[in-house]
Amino acid sequence: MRVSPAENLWGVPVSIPLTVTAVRRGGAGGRALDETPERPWTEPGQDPEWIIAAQRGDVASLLALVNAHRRPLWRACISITRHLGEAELLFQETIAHAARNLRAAPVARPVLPWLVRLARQIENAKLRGREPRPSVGLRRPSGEPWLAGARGSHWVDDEQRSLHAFAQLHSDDQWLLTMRLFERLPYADIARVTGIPVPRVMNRIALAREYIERVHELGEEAA
Amino acid sequence: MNHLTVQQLSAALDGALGGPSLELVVHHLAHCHECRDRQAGLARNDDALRRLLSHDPHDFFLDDLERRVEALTVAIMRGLPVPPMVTSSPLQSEEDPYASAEPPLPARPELGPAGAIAHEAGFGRIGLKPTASSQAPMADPAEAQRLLEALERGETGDFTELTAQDQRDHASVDGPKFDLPGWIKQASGTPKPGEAPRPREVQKLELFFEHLNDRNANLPHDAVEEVFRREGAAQAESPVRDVGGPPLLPFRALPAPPAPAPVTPATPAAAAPAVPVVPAPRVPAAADPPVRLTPLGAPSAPEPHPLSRQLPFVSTRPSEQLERPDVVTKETPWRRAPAWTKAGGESSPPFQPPHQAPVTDAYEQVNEPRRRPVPRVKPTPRFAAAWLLATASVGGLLVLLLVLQFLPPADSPGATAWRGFRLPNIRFAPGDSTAPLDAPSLDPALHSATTPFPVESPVPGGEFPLDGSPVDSTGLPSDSLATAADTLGPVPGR
Repeated sequence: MRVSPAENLWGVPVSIPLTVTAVRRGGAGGRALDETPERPWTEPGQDPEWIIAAQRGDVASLLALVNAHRRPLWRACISITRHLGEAELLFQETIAHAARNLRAAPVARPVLPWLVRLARQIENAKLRGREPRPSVGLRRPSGEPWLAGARGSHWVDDEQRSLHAFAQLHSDDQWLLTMRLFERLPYADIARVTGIPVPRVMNRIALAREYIERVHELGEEAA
Repeated sequence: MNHLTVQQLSAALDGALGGPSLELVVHHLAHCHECRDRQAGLARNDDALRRLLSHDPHDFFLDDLERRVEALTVAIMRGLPVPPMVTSSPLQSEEDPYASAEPPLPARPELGPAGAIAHEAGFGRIGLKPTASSQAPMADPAEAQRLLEALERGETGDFTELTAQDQRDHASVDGPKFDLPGWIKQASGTPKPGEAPRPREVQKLELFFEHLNDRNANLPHDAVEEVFRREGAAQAESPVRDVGGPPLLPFRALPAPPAPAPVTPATPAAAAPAVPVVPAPRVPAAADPPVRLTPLGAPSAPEPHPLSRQLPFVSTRPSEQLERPDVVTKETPWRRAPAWTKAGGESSPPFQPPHQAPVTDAYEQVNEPRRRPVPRVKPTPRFAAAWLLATASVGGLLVLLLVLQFLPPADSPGATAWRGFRLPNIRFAPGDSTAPLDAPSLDPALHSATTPFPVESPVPGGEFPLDGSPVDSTGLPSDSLATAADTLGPVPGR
């Protein structure tokens, strides 16, 4: 296999298959993969082509699929794990699991909801029978320290209470809030992705917000 | 006044209302401050969660992550060995709770050991107050003049020991006062708040003049100290001293091992396909490499830096943790790494942070349950001695009882001064298996183990008539039918 030298973040050359590099950079007649689909959650876009090619053994198509959906998948991993390192591990495990189970991938539907479902299943399987993760870690989910700076300590307290309340929610409610708050999907799209009726989606999101607010108030009263 | 429901407030936040519903909510919010506060609280929580969880990393981060995923995917789809999964940041279980919130400062090898000590003492680290005062003590000109005059007169009685006390009173604290951790106070001798100040402890100096024999003569001072240090370490490890072993070899100075060579980029053909390359931590190049002393012919093992005994490290040895239960340690490689590897002392092998180490060996082992090592209970010498004593006591008692069984009892003929002891003869009622079978029972009406069963009575012999005529008890033909009265005999008293 021909390889093409490339450099990683630290300037050390690594070898990447030529086909993958060509496809990623849009050269050799390939299409640049930085063009993410406009509505990756509800519209398949090029997902069926990539999935069919990947099921035939084309690695470049699978990598193109990953490249197209890497950012929303990363956001989903962060919201599921609430930790930077754990999200990295979950991201890799999800793609590895998807590569092993390509035959189960949806062909006529968008792949991103399937990938996120895999990530949630892997996370639940890892935490089954073990102690749950601490709701508030030593650092922010992005890896930054809990430094208030000029905003004051109450700013950090509010964030930690909100994060703690979010961690106490059911995983389905967490996922509904994630799709609404972070992915900014309308209720209809959330219902289409999750298969839950729109009124129920609206009610569960409202009750989840009320629960977070209630936990917030209890924390303030205790403080 | 009916307030808005949380469903209405949530839907209004999401912009999902329209028409009369939206007009109703807007009209109510314009007049009800309570519902406005509730909606503001919901919006505040949403903003907090968006700030925390909507992590939007840079493309460099995602590119690096995608390279690792690419290596995994290529290996899985082509049936190659799956490379281990690596994360660029520590996992939740590997995080150091004592790590500074600020990024680590660059190493200052030009400062030498003093820089390492100052770094460990907290100088130059944001958020950590130095263990010693950073200001010079206040001077009294009148007192200094008086002491100078007394020195000129030759009166040294007024001179007292210079101490660092009362420095905190003169230091102007601008800002919040930081409280030092307990182990720093214990190590530095600073009294805790609410604790009586302790007298200053003079650092102990161990002198080994008596062991300086001909073998260690004509050696430099450092070499002699090294000899004593090794002997002390060997004595601490094994209580048995060396008896007749080979004599110590003469010492020679060996330079420190050179710093590891920088990572040279591999050729594309030799490099593994798309395996992420983790940068090795930077090892500061020592300007003046220290000299280590090792015996001739002995393998040069890495020795701890002399400064490591002075730095306030927290011990990770379980025995020392038991001796100091107030010290809370964390068994992480971050703690195990000596500070001089980061501060530029003696060169050391490259230290790899745990989060840069492979997380998994292979993908197949990811979902396997983590096995906990079964702790092995090692019997202590005291437990073994107690067990031996108990066994010997019980065994001796049994042997004594056995011996007493063979001695004649006191009331038997030929008894000696040693009176025998016999166990009581135990008889099991109502029947004794040792009694003869034909022994008469005390109560004939009672059946005992010696009572013969009815089936053991002799069966009447003789020829039985086949015509069904009655026979007597001996089997002979009888003329009359035997009745119950004939069988039982005359009834007494009739």
